Amino acid sequence: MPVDEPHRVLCHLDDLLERRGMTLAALADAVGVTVVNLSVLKNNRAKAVRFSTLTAICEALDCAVGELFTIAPE
Amino acid sequence: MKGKQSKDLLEFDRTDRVGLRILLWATVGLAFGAQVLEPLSAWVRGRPIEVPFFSEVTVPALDKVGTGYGVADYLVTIDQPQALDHLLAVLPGIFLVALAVAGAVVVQRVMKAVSNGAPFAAAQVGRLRLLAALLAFGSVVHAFLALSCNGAILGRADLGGLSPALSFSFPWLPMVLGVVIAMIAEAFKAGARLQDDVEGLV
Repeated sequence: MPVDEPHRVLCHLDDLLERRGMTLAALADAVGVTVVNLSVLKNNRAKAVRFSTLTAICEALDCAVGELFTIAPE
Repeated sequence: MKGKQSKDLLEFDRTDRVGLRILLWATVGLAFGAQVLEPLSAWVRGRPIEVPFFSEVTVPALDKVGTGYGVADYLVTIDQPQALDHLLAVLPGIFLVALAVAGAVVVQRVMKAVSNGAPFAAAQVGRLRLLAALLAFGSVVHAFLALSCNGAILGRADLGGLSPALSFSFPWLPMVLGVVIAMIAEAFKAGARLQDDVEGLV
């Protein structure tokens, strides 16, 4: 797939937050990222995620990267 | 201890922008005066018009003393120009002023986007490319237009048996400037893409 095409990465932050009984604001506090930025990630509008952000989110939610993101089938 | 932050002297601040705007429009105004108003005033007052003429002419005084001379650019004065001659004389000037106005507007828009904190907005690439085209192609079109108009005026004039000839020199400087600005537009294109990436970075 050429890199210019839209991506098919799906973020499951909503599900993970619901299962952990955590709010987006609480996660934002724990991770040190703004609610706006987490909202961008949650709504699949992000184009890239810093490894540091990813590490912090996975630590806060106690999950693996694969639980947070999947690739939608074509 | 933190030292006092020194002001970046090369920073383009509000004063510079106002200064550049004044300079741009003063240049456009001067171009309008020299290239359009002056020929129009000559037309209204019935003054003769001067046209550059590239030719070999005979100078009896130099022939007499045996001094050699060759072809050169001369100014032919059309003493009683017709309305068409005046129109042909003013036409390249109108085109040049139109180019200058378009260029000034584009430069102002580029400057405004920079001052608004959006130097790499997608529209900037288009603006810079337009500016490059105005310089690179507009200058050549203007040179050809001036050559054609002068040729038409000379073609209608009585040159005492001399065949009308014109010399054409490519406007290299604006052409090179245009290419440089087109190159800068490419850098802005890369900048616009980077900004787009950064905006979606979490």
